[in-house]
Amino acid sequence: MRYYKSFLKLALILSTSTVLFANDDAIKLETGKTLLEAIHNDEIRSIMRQLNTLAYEREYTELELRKLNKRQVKLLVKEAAALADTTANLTNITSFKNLDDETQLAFNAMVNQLQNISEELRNATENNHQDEIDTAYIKLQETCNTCHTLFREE
Amino acid sequence: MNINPLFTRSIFIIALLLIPPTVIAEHTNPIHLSLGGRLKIDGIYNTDSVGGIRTSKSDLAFSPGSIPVPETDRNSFDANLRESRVWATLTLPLGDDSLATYVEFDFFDTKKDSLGRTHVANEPRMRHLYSTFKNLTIGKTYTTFANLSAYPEINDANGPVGNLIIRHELISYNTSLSWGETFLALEKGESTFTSSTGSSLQINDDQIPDIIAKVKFSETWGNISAAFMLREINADNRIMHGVNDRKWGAAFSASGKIYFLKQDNLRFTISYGNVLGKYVSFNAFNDAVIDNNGQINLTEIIGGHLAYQHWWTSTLRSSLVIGAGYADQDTRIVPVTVNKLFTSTHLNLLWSPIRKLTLGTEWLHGYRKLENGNDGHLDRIQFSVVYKF
Repeated sequence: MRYYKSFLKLALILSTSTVLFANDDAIKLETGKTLLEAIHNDEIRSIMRQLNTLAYEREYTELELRKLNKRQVKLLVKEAAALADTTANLTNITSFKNLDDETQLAFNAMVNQLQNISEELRNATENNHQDEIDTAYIKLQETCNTCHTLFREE
Repeated sequence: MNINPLFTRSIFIIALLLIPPTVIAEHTNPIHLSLGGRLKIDGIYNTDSVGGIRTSKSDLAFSPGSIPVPETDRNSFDANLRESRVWATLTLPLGDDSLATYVEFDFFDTKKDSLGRTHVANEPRMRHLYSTFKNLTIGKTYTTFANLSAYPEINDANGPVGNLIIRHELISYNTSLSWGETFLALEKGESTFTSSTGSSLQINDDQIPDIIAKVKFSETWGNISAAFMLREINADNRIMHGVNDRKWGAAFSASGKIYFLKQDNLRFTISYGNVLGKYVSFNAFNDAVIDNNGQINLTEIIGGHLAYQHWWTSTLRSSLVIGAGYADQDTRIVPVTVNKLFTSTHLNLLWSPIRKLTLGTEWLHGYRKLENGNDGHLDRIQFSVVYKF
């Protein structure tokens, strides 16, 4: 099952790469940014970084740590929600609609994956389950990296 | 009288059915109590023994004022778990909000220590006891003047020279804003003096609490805070009867934690003022010198530390911490054997295979210089295991 999933993932990447390399037109937003530049997780990365280092703080009391954790988790929920909304709206823009069917299909697959993980992250942060937050964040990183490799213009 | 068991059972069932549903429904306890702590075991090797008698803790936690001058050249090894901590939190709903109370103990009380031959006493010492409700904090905890996030991750219990961490009684009000927080606090006043013979004096009759205001800017790149403090230093007839000299002074501190690549971060504190004495480096310098006529001369102090933490992997990291504290003492009043300069350097390698467990080793170099130019050094290697529960 694991190899089957990996094979599918590889097939998706290869097929999408072929489509992209064959297409000279950059996927641009009306703002001039490349499509995937709109989906950025820098904020989420910063928040997770702060959450991670909080675990190793030596002098905060438990009450203060809870307060700081709560604040970071609130920010994380906000960013996860924004990320889900952005990905949902990307397929409605004009430049996306002008793309050929195969590229749209490949991109849609990645967008769906990103939306699912964003929802997962949102649920985990709302329930304040640290382990689930960590897992969802790792998945998010993997998805972002794959997407950037495929679509982002260097 | 014989009672039919069937009759008794029926009465019991009927009674259960008659009890209102709200009573037999599962009761939700509004009180939330949680317990936790950490186990910390230290193995410490000192190049110069600064501990003296068994009740001293200078061999176990870096105290710059205890660096021997001249150097003793007597090394020592010690092991202890006094920096282990236990804590409890109790949260009670109160109106729309909740009242949270926190208490924490470590085992650093050395007053009742035994000789340490067959049994080393590790008496509990209260570190924190405070309650928070909405924006108000009352009790004993870290001073508002400090920024705890600027405190580096080190094995040593006391921290670098120039750090501001002290715990005492306070009342603090903070406001959370979109860009950070503001704080206003009244904290326990406690003037400390150096006498004309060089000894330390504590008056313990202070009348006005220390007044502290702080603003903290927080962003995804980290945080920076600026704190201001006003203190009255009061001699209260201590030296000469009828002479009750008192002086107001001020101090400023800027500190923060800034993130760089990945989890690397820079932590810093810089403080300056003429009433910093008991706040900086565990009272390495006193607040003021007091002459034989009972007149107070406030001591100008500058201190701070700079710490860079590099993460080699997601579990392995190192911190390099440099700290310094300097006091401008009036040697026309106090002897030239009083402290002038302290510095410290910490370098460590810490590993956390799981979040709750950290193993690490740390090298510490301390330096102390007196007004007469004499100085002393201390080198220390500390192995620590910390397990949080």
